[in-house]
Amino acid sequence: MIQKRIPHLVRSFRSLFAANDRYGDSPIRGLSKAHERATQNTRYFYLAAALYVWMCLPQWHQAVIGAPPLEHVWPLYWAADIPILPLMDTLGVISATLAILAFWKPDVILFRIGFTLSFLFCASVSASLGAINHGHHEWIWVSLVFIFLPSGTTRVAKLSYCLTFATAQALVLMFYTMAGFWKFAEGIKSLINGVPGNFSPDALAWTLADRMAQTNTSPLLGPFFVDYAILAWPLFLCLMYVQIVSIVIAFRPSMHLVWAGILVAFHTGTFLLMEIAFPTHIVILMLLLIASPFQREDWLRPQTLTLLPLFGGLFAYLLSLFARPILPPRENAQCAI
Amino acid sequence: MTAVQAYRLRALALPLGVICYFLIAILPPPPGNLELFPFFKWSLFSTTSDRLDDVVIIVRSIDGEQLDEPTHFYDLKDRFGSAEARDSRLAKTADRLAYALLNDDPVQERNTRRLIEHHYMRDARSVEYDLAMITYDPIRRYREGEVKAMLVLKRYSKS
Repeated sequence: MIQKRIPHLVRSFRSLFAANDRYGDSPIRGLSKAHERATQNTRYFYLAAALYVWMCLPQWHQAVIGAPPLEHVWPLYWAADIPILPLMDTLGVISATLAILAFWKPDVILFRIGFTLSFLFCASVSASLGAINHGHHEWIWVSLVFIFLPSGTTRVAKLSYCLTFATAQALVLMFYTMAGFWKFAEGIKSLINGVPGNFSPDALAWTLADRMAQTNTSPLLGPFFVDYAILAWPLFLCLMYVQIVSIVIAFRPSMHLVWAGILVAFHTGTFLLMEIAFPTHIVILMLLLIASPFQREDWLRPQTLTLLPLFGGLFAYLLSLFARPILPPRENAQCAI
Repeated sequence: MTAVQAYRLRALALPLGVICYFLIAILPPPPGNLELFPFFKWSLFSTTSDRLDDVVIIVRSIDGEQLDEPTHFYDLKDRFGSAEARDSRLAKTADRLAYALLNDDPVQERNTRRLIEHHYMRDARSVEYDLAMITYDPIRRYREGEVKAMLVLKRYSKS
């Protein structure tokens, strides 16, 4: 009984966030096309993963030269007595090879499981060096979700495939929401305590100055926004908004492309303002959202802005002011007669 | 299991998995850890103010040679590869060392200190350094290098 209610529950949950994007009523229009694109993107994911792992290999090797004393995180407990340098290199090569195999045959579940596990172990070695490199996280979690991709070409199999791919999209967008949530929560906490915080006009300037002082870096635009903090304020408020509402975008496929563009712009900003680049996050945004299988339009249309979380109604109103009145089809027909 | 049942199972399990991730990530981590790997709560640059605290490593001597003045580890780019690479994991590891000190956890303190000295300070045979908590206005620290207060939590020596 409960099982039969699940699709209905899922539809209701989707509709809750989907606004008037028709994702809620009709999960995937053009299922075969969406499935084909999702399959293609999954394959490219493993291509990008192979490149990423091969690029990480020298860093991982370098990190464990001299056999540093590790504080093993739990996925690596089994390897506590194994010499770390050969282990790291072996795991790295296995992971890179499995990424290639998963690219070659993405429908073979063993390759996908193997890649996720081996990459988790590699990331665990890195995480056992006292602190965690969060650049690896998205790869671990997206590849974990991709383990559940089904094979087959029946309608239900295609639906399952698209659902799994959409879960990976939602998960990545949820990471952004969580990042925004903490900024917002800390801002509220500061307001309650009556101390300067994330809602202060200088908030971003403080963050930039702190980063530059801590790491002795000089990003291209960092000093400018410290000097003209008031210009940075709206950027920071917009960033909080964009991050917090990101999860809603998972349910509004018409917004996938534009939101990914905004998030890529945000990552570009972190480089120009803080000298922190997020290349792998950008690649994952490209694979999951810029090339979203569920995207309805190839380009941004003004109507898409009406789906903007919280401000969609405002855009709908503004568009209605400029829109030309269009007669309903039947009246048009009568006029023609 | 039929294809329809598999679809229904995914429709239930995958969203639940996402929700579980969220809940596990926001729960307090195990004692002595900043997070439960690989669940990350994605709190990045969440806190800011005109008065900040930071745990830093201040180096006083390297290989028996006293520095002209105590120097922030990250400013010793020509002496330590980790400083040159601006390895941010060291800053987080220093946070953990301070956390172990403040919570009177000698085992965690020993392990974290060993990691700092044998890995991040591997380019020097002996190092004398302080683990310190500094308080500062970030803009004044950036422009003038001014630190309002510095509290040495503990003095260490790698030998």
